[in-house]
Amino acid sequence: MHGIIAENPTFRLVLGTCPTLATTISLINGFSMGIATMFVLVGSNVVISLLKNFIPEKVRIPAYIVVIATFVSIVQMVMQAFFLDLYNALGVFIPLIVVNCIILARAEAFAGKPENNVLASAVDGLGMGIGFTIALSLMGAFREIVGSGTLLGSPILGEGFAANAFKLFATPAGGFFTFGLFLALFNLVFDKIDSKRKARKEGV
Amino acid sequence: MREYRTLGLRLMLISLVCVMALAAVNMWTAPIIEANKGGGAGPGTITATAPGFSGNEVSVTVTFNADGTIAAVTADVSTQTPGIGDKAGQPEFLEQFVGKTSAEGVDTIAGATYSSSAVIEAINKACEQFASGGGASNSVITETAQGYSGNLVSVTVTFNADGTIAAVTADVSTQTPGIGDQAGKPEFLDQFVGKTSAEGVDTIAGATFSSTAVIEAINKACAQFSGN
Repeated sequence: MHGIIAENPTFRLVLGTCPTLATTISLINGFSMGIATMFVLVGSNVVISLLKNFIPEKVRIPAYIVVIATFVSIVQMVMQAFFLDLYNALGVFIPLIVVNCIILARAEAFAGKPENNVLASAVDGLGMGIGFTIALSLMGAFREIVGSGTLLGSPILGEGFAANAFKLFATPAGGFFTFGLFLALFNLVFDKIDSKRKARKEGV
Repeated sequence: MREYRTLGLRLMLISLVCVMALAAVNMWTAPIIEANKGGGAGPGTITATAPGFSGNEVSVTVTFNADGTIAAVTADVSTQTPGIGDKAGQPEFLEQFVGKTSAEGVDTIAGATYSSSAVIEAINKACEQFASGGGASNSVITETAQGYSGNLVSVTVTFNADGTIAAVTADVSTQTPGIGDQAGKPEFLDQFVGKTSAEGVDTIAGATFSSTAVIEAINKACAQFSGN
């Protein structure tokens, strides 16, 4: 479960940056993207862990991609059927989940390794997925409030602000700025934690 | 060589299982997706496009009443900025056009100027096309049927957006003058206005073949309209 904070895929491992920047213009979009990715993560981690002895070493990447693509297609069909608004909002980024580095990285680095059983792989996928969803939600909320003056569609800072918000943050450039801000924040926090740990060790 | 066979076979097996799972999910979700699509291009509609934000296209489908007023508008704004430009595709914006004959009088959305201008432009294009084309081409259907002596009768039906008949004209020139051509007269054809089929209208005594042919052609047109 390290994926939630300590090894947060977005802000610590810096994986899956493309959908992070593109789908975080609003809270609901970021959150939905995170959930969809989490589903694929858990699913593919479980299946790959189950099949790890069956998948030949030489073709493991194509095999992983086939499994991941299957889960993504399932997510896509389910979203199109039951969550059409979100499906339209996320658009092309749903099929792009297939090439989200987080999923392939965890498959390769965790689920595919013989020492990690199916349950551990599932939990790893869940942790990474939750961390990703939190990251996307945080960025989505920030960019929505500052960039459009709304949260979940309602203008929480007043109509006046909503009409004149810092539109920059709703653009791709703003996405980069926001990402940088959060990265800096996480680094700051972890640096402090690290230095406290060091101080404690030396003190003892 | 044997190794490649194993690789290939195993990959194939994995793919096979995945494909079966996909087919199962597809069977489950496809009907729902199709049902949701319902409000797309149907009869009495014109679809027009216009460039929006960053030149990306916006596609608008306008459903017209027979009198040229707008009955409904749907817009595909998926190429616009999510959360900003896609406001131009929301019901709150699109409802403003209902009952109008053009996009005049509707303002662009503050903060989504390009996207909403594109929707307005596309609606105007659709209205122009409707006006110049004498109606949405798929709301006017022409059908034929065999009348007296097997000679063809041609009927043109204009439909309202709700599927009721707005008007009917018939070419009965191949029928017997003074007898069969009664089936092409307003007194006969007016009976069909407001209906969704030719049911309930009797044939003309003494001009059975000709009037039956007109009735048959009208039913064919109605079937084609609702099948659209």
